[in-house]
Amino acid sequence: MIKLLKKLCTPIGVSGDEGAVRAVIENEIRPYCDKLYTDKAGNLIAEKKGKKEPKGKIMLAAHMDEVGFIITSITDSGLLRFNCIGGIDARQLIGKRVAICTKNGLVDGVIGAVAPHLLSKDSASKVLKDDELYINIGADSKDEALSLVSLGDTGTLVGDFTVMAGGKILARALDDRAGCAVLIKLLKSESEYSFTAVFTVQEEIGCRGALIAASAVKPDFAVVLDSTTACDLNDIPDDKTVCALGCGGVVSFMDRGCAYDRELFSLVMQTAEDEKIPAQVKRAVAGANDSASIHKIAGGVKTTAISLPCRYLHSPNCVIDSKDLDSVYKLVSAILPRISAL
Amino acid sequence: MQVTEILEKLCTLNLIASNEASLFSEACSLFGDKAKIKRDKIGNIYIKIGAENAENKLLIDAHCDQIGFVVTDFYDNGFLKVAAVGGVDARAAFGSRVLVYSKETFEGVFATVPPHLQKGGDSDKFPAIDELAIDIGLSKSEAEALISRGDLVLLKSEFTRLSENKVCSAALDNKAGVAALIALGLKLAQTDLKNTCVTLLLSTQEELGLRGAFAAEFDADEVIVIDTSFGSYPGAPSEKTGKLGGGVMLGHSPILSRSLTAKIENVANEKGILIQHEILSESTGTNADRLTLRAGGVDCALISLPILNMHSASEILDLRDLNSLIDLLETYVREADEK
Repeated sequence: MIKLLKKLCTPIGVSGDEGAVRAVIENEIRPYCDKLYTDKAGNLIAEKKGKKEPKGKIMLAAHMDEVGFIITSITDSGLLRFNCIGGIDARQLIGKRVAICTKNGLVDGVIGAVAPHLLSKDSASKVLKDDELYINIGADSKDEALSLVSLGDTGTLVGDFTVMAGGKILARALDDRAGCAVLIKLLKSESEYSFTAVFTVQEEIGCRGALIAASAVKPDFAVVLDSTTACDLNDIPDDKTVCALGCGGVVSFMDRGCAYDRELFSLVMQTAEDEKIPAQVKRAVAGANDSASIHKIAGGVKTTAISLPCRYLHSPNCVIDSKDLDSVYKLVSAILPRISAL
Repeated sequence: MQVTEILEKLCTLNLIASNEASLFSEACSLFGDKAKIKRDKIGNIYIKIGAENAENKLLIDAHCDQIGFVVTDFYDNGFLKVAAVGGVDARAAFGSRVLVYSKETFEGVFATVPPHLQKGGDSDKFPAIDELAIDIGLSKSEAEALISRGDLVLLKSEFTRLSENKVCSAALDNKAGVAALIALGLKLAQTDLKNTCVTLLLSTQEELGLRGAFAAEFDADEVIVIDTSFGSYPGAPSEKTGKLGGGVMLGHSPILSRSLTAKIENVANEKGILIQHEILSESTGTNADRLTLRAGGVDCALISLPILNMHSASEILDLRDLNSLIDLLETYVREADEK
């Protein structure tokens, strides 16, 4: 799954501009789907026939988009102004490399700032927001810059895909290519029951793609595969860590977007216990995912979310444990027959 | 070898103070028997070109050390505690990738609390260096087995050609200066100097307070210091900056020699080499501050390359300025040698 994940993390797919990611996923899953199509919003929808039909229609979702930025204007000296897309900590920006997706391919740049030597102590420690910063692509003029990038081009902070010494994975966009990887593996596997897999767009800007897709698919049950924030860091007390790497999929009872279906929540945890698959309950009401949209369409959808614990979410340097990828895959595989019987 | 190639190669080396051995072997392999190369006890590297007992003795200095971090301890969960080596920009360190240089090189990242879990005010300030922790994905016992206190850490950085003239890397301050000196030395070594001995001093520990310059032992009538300075950028005071691609910045300061500075300016003007002026009151913040304090004094000039984002992992330099610098120094040496 690590090889697949690397393939998924390579293309850039900032919200609203997910085409490159979708192309990779389409290519991976086409032979394994019974029906595969893209809706007008850009959601990729795959129908997988199992040996049996479930009692209620099941939809699995993972989002393709990632946080990033959009180019808003260009100065006379050839510097680019930009706005962040999705929740990025402004402190991540200064001095960082970026890649911009243009019609001529990727353009490298740097988010610059005045050297601290030239600033007062207060100014040198000030956090600058996206609209106070510039991207430098090495252009000497507005014309030169415009020959390379166009207004509205999107991009991300650069973060190479690396397998760390202990086997953990350090990379950009693991939120939610990790979920996509699990969903792809499920599509590639034999399935006892039919399900619909949706690779959604625009999760990071308000779970918009999921609303559009679920409204068309009209499932009875939904399982959302996302990445969630693990705060198992050096100076965080245990009760504030939310979840921890290596302890399995993170199952939510409630977050900022959804009060999850109690029956499904119990079913997932019971399955994990019965099948001895590592899983953990999310120990906070924080964050949100596509469930926020899906659970409240057309009379409601019974929804559960199983997430990959991920450190440094929304940075170009996310860290996950590959053991959790396997645990989540096993857990989702194990709950599908049980949900099919509901 | 083109200076850009030399610079790219230097940018792959970890040159935090005390770790200059790799630069020494790089210099030895580049020069072969074309120069006398030696190291002193603090770690300065001297590359001598020309006749030993020549009439003109010129020293050109560029500090070779770079800023970084050093591992000081392990947190209970296996993350690493670090201290800064030199003037690290806490803004550029935040959330960055790092390389930990132990027996093997480990890749890691400065840990941060994600926006979803921050409390009000958390995102308004950068943590101090001693509050930082590096996640290398190992438990404490695994980390302690593989990494030692005192191991060096660099922000991960790639050498990138942003455009035809602009390159981007960590530590162009002052690997750009070192690359210029090596390229200059290789040019000078091609034809014999008659009356001149040029010593290229790749000095260490500048970022720790000009300590390499303090310890440096040499015999010279003139000293030229090569370093980087601040490029023009929105919000930076224009009087303290030079335009990238606008030529090298010739320093003017009470501690520098007016006559040597004027001589260099004349050479630039005659040859049509683009220069800009950098006016520094009192000290220069460079090795010139220290190298001038010698028994009997010495004439000293300062030439700087304008760069952007100084002390981040993404400094930017204009290659035209780098080539102008080499051109200016070579012309200066050749003309002095003819006289």
